[in-house]
Amino acid sequence: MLPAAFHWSCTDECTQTRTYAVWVPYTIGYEAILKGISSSAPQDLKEPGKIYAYKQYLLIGEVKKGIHIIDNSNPRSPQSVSFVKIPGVLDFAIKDDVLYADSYMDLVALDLSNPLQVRETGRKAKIFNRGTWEGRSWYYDARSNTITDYNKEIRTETYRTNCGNEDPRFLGIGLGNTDSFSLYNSSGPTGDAGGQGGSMARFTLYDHFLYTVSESDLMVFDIRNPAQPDSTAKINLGWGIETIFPYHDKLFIGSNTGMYIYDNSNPAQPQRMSVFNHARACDPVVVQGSRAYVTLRTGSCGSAPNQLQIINITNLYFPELIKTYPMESPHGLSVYANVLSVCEGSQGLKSFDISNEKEMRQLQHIRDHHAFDVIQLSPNHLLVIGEDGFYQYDNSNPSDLQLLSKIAKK
Amino acid sequence: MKKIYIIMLFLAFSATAQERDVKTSKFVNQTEIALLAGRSLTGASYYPYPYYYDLSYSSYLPYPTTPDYTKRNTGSLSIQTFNGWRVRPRTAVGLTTGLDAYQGMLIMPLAAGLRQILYEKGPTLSKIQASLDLGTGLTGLDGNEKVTKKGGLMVNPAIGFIFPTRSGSAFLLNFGYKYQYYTLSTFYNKDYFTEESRNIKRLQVRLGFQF
Repeated sequence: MLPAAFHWSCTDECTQTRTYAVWVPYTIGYEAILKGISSSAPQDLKEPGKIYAYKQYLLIGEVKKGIHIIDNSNPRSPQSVSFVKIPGVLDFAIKDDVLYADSYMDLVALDLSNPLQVRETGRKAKIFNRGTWEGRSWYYDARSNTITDYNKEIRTETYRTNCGNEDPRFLGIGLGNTDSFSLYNSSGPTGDAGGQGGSMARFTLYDHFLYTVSESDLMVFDIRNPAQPDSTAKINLGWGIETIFPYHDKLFIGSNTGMYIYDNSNPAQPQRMSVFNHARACDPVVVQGSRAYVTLRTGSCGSAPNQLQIINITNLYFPELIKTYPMESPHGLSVYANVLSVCEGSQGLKSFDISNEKEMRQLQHIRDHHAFDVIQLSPNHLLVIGEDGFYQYDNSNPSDLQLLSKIAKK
Repeated sequence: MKKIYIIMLFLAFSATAQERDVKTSKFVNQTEIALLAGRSLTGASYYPYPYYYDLSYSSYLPYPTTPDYTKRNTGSLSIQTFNGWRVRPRTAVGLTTGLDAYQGMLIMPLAAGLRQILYEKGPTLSKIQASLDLGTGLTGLDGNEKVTKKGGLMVNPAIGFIFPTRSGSAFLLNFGYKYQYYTLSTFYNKDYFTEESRNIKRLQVRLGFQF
C-alpha cells in the first residue's frame, strides 16, 4: 500500500478479488450406481443432508454419498454405527426396517434390520430423471445411460475494476455508487433437508404407501411388499415441488408458488383439494390442527420476502391467511403444541410461542450455528441439522434450550 | 474637524489591522475547496456477472469475461479545513478534515496536518507554503449499506501561495497530490463474496482562505 502511495501517477488502481462457486459437471455411468450400494465403517460428517429418526436410530444423509446410521439411545452421547454408501442419495424414509432411498434415478429398498450389514432388497429403476440439491441439479440421459452431476468448486479471481467510475462525466460526483452488482444480488441457494415428520422431506410414508415428490410430480409407491416397492400413481403437480408433509389423511405439498393440499383418504390415489398461492419462494410447510405454517425464503426458488405465514386450514378447500411474520432466512420448521421452531439458515434457530397466533412471541434465538431443518422428536427432544453439523436439544423450556449433544461436520 | 475625525478613525482601524497582522495569532485555520482530477478506468460495471448461479434457473453457465473499460479523465470536488497552532513563526501543525467526493465513494479524511512557510518577503506580502496531510479516510458517510467499507491511508502533499489581505486573513492557492486507499467488501452468500481495494490518485488544485 505504501509504495503504491508514492508511486507517482494519476491513474487510479483498483482491483477486486472475487470468490465464487461454479458447478463443474461430471458424468457417472449407470453401472456404477447399480454397484454403488454397500455398508462400511462409520465416517465423518462432511456435507450433512436430511435427517431421519427411526426407533433408537438417527439417520443423517451425506449428500449424494450415503447415510450415516447413528445409535441415539442416549441423546447425550450418540454413537456412530455405520455408513451406508448410496450413490446420489438425497431423500429417504424407513418403515418396518426397510429403508427407502433415492439413488439418482432409482428408488432402492434396503434391509436395515442389521445396520452393520445393510442389504439391497429391491430396486425400482429409472423412475426419477432429475433432482436438485442446493440449486444443483443432476439429470439422467437415457440414451447414453449416464448421469450428469455437478461438483461445487470455489474459485478466486482478481480483476481490475473501474473504481466506481461508472459514469465518466468529468464532475460526476458519484455518492455511494459503489455496489456494482446489486442488480444481481441473489442470496444463494441453501440446503433442503428433511426427516420423519420433518418439514423439508421429499419422501414420506403413509399406510403402506411411499410418497415421493420430484420437481414436478408426486409419485405413489405401493410397499405392501416392503422389499419391492411398486409404483402405482404419478400425479403431475406443475413445477417447483419441494416438500411433502403428511398430516392425518391429508398431504401438504410445498411448492415454489404455493401449498397444495391433497386428500389422501384413498392413499393410492391422492386427490387435490386446494392450492394456497403465495409469492415465488422456497417454502416448506408443517401442519398442526387447523393451522398450517409455511416459511417463504428468498433463494434459488424465488425472490419473495423472507417470512412465516400462518394459514387457517379449517376449511381445507379454502385455506385462509391469518398472519405473516417477517423472518431472516427461514428453512425447515416444526411445530409442537404452542412451540414453533424455525431454522433460520446461517442465522441459527428460533423458537416461538404461538399460543396467540396474532401476536407470536419469540422465545429464544440460538445464533451460534447454522440450521436448516428440525424435527421435534418427542415433546422435549429437538433434532436440528445445519451445514456445520447435527445438534440435539432438550427444549422442555422453549425459552432456554439445552444442548444435549452435537456431531460436528469434519 | 469632522474630516479629521473620519481620517483618525480610519487610521485607527488600519493601525489595529496592521498590528494584528504583525502579531499573527497562534491559531491557524485554512479552509479550502479543491478540484480533484485524475484518470480512471470507466465503463459499465455489470461486467462481472456474479458467476454464482443456480442450475435450477437455466443450463447456461456464464463464465468470467474481461470488462470492457476505457481510461478516461475523471474529476470531483472536495472541501477541507485545517485547524492548527503556529508552533514556530513559519510552522503550523494541526488536524485536517473535510469531505472528498470520489466517483465511487464519499470520504471524510482525518489527518495530521503540517503547514510550513518556505519563503516570505514580509508579513504582509505573499508567501510560498508547503503542506502535508497524512492520515486516514473515514467511509461512514457513504450511503451504500450493502457494502462493507473500510478507509485507509490518505496522503496529501501540496505547495502553493498565501496572499495576505489587509484584514489579516489570507487567500490560498495550492497545488497538490492526493492519494487515498480504501476497500469495499460485499458478502452475498458463502459462495459469492468480493473484496475490492482502491488506490485513488488525484491531482489537486485548492482555493481557499486563511484566518
